[in-house]
Amino acid sequence: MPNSFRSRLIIAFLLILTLMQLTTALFVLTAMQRDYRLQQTQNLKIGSNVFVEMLSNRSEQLNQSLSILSADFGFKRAIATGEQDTISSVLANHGRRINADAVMLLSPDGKLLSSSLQGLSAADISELFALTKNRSTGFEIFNYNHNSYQFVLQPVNAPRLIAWVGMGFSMDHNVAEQAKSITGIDISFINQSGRVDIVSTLPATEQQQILANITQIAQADASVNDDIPTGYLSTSISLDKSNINQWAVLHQSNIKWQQNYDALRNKMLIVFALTCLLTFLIAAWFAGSLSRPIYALANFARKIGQGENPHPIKDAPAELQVLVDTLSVMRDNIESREEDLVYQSQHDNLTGLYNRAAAKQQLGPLLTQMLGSIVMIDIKNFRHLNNIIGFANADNLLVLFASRLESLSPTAALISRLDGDSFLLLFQPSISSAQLDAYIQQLTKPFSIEGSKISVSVRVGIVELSSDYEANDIDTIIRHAEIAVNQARTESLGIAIYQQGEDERYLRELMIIRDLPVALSHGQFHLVYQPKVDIHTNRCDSAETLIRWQHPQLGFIPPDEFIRLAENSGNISIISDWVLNTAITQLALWWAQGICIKVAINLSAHDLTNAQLPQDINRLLTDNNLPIEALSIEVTEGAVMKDAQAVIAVLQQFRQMGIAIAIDDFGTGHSSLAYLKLLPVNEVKIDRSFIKDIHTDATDLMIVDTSIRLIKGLNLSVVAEGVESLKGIEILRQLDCDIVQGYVYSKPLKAAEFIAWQHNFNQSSVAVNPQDNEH
Amino acid sequence: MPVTRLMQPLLCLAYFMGTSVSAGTFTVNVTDNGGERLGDAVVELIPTAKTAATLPTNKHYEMRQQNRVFSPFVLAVPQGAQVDFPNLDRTRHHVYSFSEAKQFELKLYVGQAESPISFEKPGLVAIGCNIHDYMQAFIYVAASPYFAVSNETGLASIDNIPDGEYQIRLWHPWQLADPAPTTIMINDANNHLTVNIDVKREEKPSSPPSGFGVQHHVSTYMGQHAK
Repeated sequence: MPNSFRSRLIIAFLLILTLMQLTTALFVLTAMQRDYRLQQTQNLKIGSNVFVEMLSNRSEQLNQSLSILSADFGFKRAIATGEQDTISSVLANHGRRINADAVMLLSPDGKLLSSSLQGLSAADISELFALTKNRSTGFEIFNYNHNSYQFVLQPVNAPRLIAWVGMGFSMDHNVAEQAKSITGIDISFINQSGRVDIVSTLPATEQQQILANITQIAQADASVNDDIPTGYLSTSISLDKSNINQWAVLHQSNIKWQQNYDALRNKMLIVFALTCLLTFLIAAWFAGSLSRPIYALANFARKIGQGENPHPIKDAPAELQVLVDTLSVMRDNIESREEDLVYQSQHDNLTGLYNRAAAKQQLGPLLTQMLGSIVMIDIKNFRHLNNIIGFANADNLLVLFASRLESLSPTAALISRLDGDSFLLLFQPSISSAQLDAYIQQLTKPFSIEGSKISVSVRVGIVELSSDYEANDIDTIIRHAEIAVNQARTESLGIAIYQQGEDERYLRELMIIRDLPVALSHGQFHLVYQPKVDIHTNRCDSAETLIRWQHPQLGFIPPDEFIRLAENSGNISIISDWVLNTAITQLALWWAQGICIKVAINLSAHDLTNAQLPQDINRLLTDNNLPIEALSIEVTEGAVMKDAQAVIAVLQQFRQMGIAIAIDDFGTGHSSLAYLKLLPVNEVKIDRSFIKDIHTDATDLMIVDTSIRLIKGLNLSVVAEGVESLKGIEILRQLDCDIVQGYVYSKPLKAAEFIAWQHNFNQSSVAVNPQDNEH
Repeated sequence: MPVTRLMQPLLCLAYFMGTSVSAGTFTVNVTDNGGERLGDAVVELIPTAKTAATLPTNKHYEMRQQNRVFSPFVLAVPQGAQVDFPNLDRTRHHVYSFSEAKQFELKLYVGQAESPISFEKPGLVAIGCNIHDYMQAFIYVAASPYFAVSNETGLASIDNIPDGEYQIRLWHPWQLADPAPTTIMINDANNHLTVNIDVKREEKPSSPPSGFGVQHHVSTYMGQHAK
């Protein structure tokens, strides 16, 4: 975690420390280096002075030696002879006495009398003679043939000055070693006259370095050169004032103090490393003591976030403890609010019972064994009750109802309110029929609402749990309970137990609704035609078209069933369209062949509210070159009653167009006779339920007789449906019925068969096929 | 220039004085450039006209060694004079000269030397002692019989000098350069001259106290001054 407080603290500590340490080290080492250098320079200066002093002393000593030599009478006498050979030999002889490397003799006025050095120039001689003028200052170095000589001169008095005798002592390795032994400093003599010669106490490699840097070294006096040669401080002393060709260079070795310096630096490094380590540990410990509670706090907060209830932290630093306590309080608040939310999400606001979602959730664990009874209770006509007693009172009623559910015995293992007036209960073990009756009786006792006694009745659907149900199939169980409640509508006691298979009907209906649109396009529908026979003329010139659906899986589906489902699901218009188009196409075919059959189609309530339909049908007929009378329509009483005004308006349009209208299933609906007067119909079809047993049932006969008289009285023609016997035909003929439809003549037939049948029937006139009688 | 300054009065003198053949005493006052009287200066008058050579006098000259110094410091002798070197000290001396005019050596002796030394050649003879380096003296061998050495008051007096024209030569041990010879008319009216010589004054050699180190010191001291 490079970003963590801990690592930042450690880095900050280390940075500060490093900075301080480095600064200190820098100052100390720099000071030490400066100090050392100063010391070394001092050494070098002292060495220089000692060296100069040494040369001066040497000069003095040599002078004294020479003065003694020059005072030697033999020497004087030899020189006074003026004989060159004598002079040369005496010079050589006396030179050897004091180990001189060069000897010479000058006249008092500076002329060379004799010299062991060959080929001295006038300048050399005058330089040497100049030494006689200024003899009190230290030492004199003379350059000859790339060699440096320390020269001393002494007068030769006999007794007046007759000559100057000079002797030179080579600045050789011995001198350098001697100087080194005195000063403790390495010394090089450098002669730059023409070529560069070096005499040095240093090793050869260092000498090479000096020669390589000769221009730097052979410079102004008193300056100190660092690191020439490597590891030495050097300073130069000019030996000759005039030519600056001869130098003595003193070399102070750095090695010792470099070692000291390195030792100190290494010690500082060790101290630095140790301090860093210590600082790291302290910083880590310090940061840890600060960050550990933070991590603990973070952990604490994370657990709270995950909904856990962690142990509260006790020993955090005061600042953090505030946060810990706040988090704890926050956690408690969240928990209580969460509990509220969960309660509200699971419970019905009004009654406090579990809601549908919670009921499903609760049922899961309760139904592991699939034992007991699921009971669904609906308050009958609650909406109606709501309107009567008001919403507030209805709510009160629901609350009372719910509390009564909870108070009655046997006590339900689960009580929930699924929606408005629907309650779901679980009894474990199963509730017996007698128990349930008693339960319902207690439940439906009048409730006291604002002083009034309100009675309610209920519908009860029961599902007996068994191993047939999947353990987690709560939805199915609830659906079955709902099916049972729906079933209970029709039961007198208002109690229904779900029977196995009822669910299948429900699923079948779903399948039918789903498959309907596809079935139309896949040609699973077809039309059949049932002959309508005029019993006065005994001819068949018209038929009622009926729709048939052969489902690939379900087989034949009764039209009542799928038309009802289509009406409920809003698909009826596409069926009507199909029927209309198919029938008209068939009609057009027949009429083109010269077979002038009139066909009646059934229109649904939905079709009859479509004001556009009459025009559409009219156009279809015209497009197919059919006369208006080729098509007639049949409507049920029920369809008319749905929206009487709109339906009548549409029917009026049909009537005006000249399309015949028949009332279907007369006598089964709830219509009043007043409507019969209002409806613009031409024909009334008496329902088969009255016709079927007309030859045996006197009541039916009477109803039919009365109906026919009534219809005839309204000047409408009468059709009897569902005639199954020849006797029936006879009776209906006597009752002055106009047209008969039924199995006595023929079942509904497909187009081709119908045409064949119609042809035969009309040919044989009254011939009745005994086979038809069987249906 | 000391010479030109000297010439003008001499020429003036020559102008005023008529020539005579009488002999008289000629005195010369010798000073240094600073006007201080200068002793030990040799004044030699050489007649310009060739005269008969005067016979060498038998005058006795000696250069003593007394109290370990030579005395006198400067001795002027005529050409061919005999000079004795008597040793009045108890120590021995080893008197020598390597000068061109006369080279000789009187080895370690006490008392009177065996025989006087004769100085035949005119010129300057520097005399030293091999045992005592500081001991120094000069014998001026004059070519002319008319010469004198100035005394401590700077006065040099030459007796019995005939009137006439002379070349005057001056010499002093401490002189910085050889004074150029000039000529002068000498007669009764003109028998005195003041001359100056450019010298660097020094201590006359004197006997140091006995002792080894001191003598050594004197030696170097002497050397220093012998420029």
